[in-house]
Amino acid sequence: MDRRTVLKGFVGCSVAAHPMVTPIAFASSADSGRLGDNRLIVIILRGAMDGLDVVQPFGDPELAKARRKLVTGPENGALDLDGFFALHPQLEMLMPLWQAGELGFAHAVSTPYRDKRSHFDGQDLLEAGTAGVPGAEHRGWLNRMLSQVPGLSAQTAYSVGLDQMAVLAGDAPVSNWSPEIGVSLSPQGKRLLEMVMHDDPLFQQASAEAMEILTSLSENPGPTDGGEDLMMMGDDGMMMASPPKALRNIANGTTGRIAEFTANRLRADARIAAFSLGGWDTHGGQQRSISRALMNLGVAILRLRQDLGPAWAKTTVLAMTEFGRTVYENGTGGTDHGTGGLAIFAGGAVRGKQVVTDWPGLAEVDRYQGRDLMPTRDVRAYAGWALRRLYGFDRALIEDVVFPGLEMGSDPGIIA
Amino acid sequence: MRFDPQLAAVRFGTGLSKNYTPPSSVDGWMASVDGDIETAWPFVRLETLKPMFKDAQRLRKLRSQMRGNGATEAERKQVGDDLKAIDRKLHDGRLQTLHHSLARGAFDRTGFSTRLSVFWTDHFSVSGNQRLWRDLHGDYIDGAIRPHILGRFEDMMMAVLTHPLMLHYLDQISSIGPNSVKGQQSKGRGVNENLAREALELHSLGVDGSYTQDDVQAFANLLTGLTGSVFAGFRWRPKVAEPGPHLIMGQAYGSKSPQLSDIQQAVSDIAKHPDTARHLATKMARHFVTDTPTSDLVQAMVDGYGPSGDLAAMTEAMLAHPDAWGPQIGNVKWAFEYVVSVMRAMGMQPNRLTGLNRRKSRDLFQRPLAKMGQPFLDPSGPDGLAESDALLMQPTALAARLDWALKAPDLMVRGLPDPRQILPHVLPGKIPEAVQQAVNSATSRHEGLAMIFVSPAFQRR
Repeated sequence: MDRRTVLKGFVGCSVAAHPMVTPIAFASSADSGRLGDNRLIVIILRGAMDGLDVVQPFGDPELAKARRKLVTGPENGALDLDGFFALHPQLEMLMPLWQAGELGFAHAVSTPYRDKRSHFDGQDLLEAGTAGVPGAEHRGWLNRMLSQVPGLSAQTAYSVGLDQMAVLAGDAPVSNWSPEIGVSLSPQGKRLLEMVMHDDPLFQQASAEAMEILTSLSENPGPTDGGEDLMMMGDDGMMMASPPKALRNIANGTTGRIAEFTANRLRADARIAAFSLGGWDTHGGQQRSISRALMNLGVAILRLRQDLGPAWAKTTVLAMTEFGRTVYENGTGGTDHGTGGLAIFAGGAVRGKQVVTDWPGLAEVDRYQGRDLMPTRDVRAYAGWALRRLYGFDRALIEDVVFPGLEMGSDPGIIA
Repeated sequence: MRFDPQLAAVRFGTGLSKNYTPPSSVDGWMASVDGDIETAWPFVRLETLKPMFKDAQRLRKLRSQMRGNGATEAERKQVGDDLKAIDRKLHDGRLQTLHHSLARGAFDRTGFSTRLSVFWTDHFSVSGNQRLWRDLHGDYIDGAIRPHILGRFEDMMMAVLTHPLMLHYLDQISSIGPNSVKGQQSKGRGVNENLAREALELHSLGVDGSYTQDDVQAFANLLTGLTGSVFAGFRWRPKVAEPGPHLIMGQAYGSKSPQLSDIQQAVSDIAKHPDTARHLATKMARHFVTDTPTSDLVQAMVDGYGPSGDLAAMTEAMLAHPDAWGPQIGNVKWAFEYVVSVMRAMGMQPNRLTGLNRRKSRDLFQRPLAKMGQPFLDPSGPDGLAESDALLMQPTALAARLDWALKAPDLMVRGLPDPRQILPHVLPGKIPEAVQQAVNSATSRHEGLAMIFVSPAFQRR
């Protein structure tokens, strides 16, 4: 029996009938269902984001020693956050959010995943929210959270984009959509489609959801058109008359459309969404390769903020990655798979302008196995506290059902 | 439950068509992988591309030298035109790879060799997003994968590990042994363990295989020296190879003077490892038969793979096993297979395909495949495409297939046929009542055809 089989039973025990389930006092809201007004967007950063490059601990003298080609610190253009950490210059577009307390970070965090440093296992575990690598059956922690709230409709939670979001997969009904699809079928065609799919549960469900989303999209078109104005954040004094072409392309491309669609759903009845952004596996030429990934992330967050409008005040964005990367740079101007890393939180509902961490230090003796940033806190604790603060879930329920095996510890205070 | 030619055409081939009669025995299926279809529809190979790459490189250099050296407008224009001509040829080559891939599946008696090639190409997933590299897919498939689909696994693995596209994709070309001749000269460059890790985790032993982080590092050290470029192809460079010995799963490989044969030996041992046999047999059974294959079937395939890593015997063991013939159709087709199976069902003719220009081909194939979640030869990571039906058949993917099934048939044949004439020839076994009824009651031919092609009976195999 391999470890996957062993763990399968463990994961499978998360059912709605858990004894710890307690009724939750939800804010009343006529049309937004039982989750109240708070919105949660989980972004999975696929490929292992180098947290040490995104939020650079330049106050730790070991950083400059371990990284010679990857330029770091404020003297090389990074944006000083608090005298110890500096933000990668490519995320300058998010500085107004930091200043407004709408952006913060958790450093030296990781999932419980260790040692094999496989993207796929690492992501499976991050999305499953379990202590060990889950089985091939994809079930995610966001879905387990949803299954604790009886009576939610599938439109409460959206998995957005062509990527399959395992974090939202499971027993609770969720919706899945990529904003690039359109179908034109006659009313008779729709009836025939239902008939053809009727006896195959998998197809029947996918087809019904697809038709439902298509119908609702045609009834509620989005308020914005393209991302031309995205970078003009007038109220923050961050005017950029003509955003660089690369940013415009991202804003008008897949990333922009995903963020736009997500915001469109969350403005209406949806409360939970998940999507992923790739490009973080920076083994070589990291200076160049990470810039692109950071632009995508920055644009996605700005787009969400813009399109959510007033709902941004009730929104928490949580961006997480499968693991961090090596402290030292490798021989090809990049970094290899590591352990401890960075989580990002943003939104009007967060208490930003802080880098929350129990900093382990970067000296070789302080590292994990001498090579990686030592994780000092389980990243699931941040997600767990967010769920507790946003939706009032019982602590025991989060520790036993949503994130089995998690010790939440004290409140890190990332939600305002 | 035993061999059935109609079911075979759907489960192991690229689908039913009234133009082709599937072979009626396992031997007939194995024999259908004879290389003829690949000869008829060749891919552009690296040897053809190299001179174009070199010309383009030379012309670009010339163009930059021309800035400010008094070259006439006409001279500059000539260089620009020559470059454009090469770009066009390269673009045509990529289009040919797409069209000929589709043709191999659509215009073959079984499509079995296409199914096997697609499976193994996905197993050794690469994507060449960067300039020039993306021209190499055809060479990768026909150079490293296709020759070995019924050969020995170690030969396929070695061919893959020495193909420039894989070496580029998983960063091997920039990996340098710190104690190699070059490594000693240029301090600060080092080993990149990406390829070594995926070769053990994804390509051979499997993530649950009996290897450790130390084995990954040792294998990464051993693999230094494997390098290449689009201009030169594969190159073995002992000067960047880390001197051995390297201890991998208890076995020492290499010596002070690194040889390519050291790597060959390690790959051979890894390919023959029982963990590899089980990983590959399970994966193949999941892909071809069902997401949850019986342990009997997997064991028979492991036995076929045997101590030598015999892919023909493993494949034949699958076809010959009763558990491969459950009459209930199961797995959802991958997007590429799905598209090919519709081409077959529609009876699309080769000249329709070859007559498509770039734009039409993009609208008919490239964009739809991407929307279905599986862009052509561009997997999202080295772990390839999703296998689980629940992950494949999401609302988005279904809507993309529906959208395509409504539009594509019109572009495949001259004049849309009556769906009632198509239906009897394209599904294995009994036609589901609902599909028959939908086809009878459709108000237009294109909606009627779409109902056939989006039905679970057509999308599963």
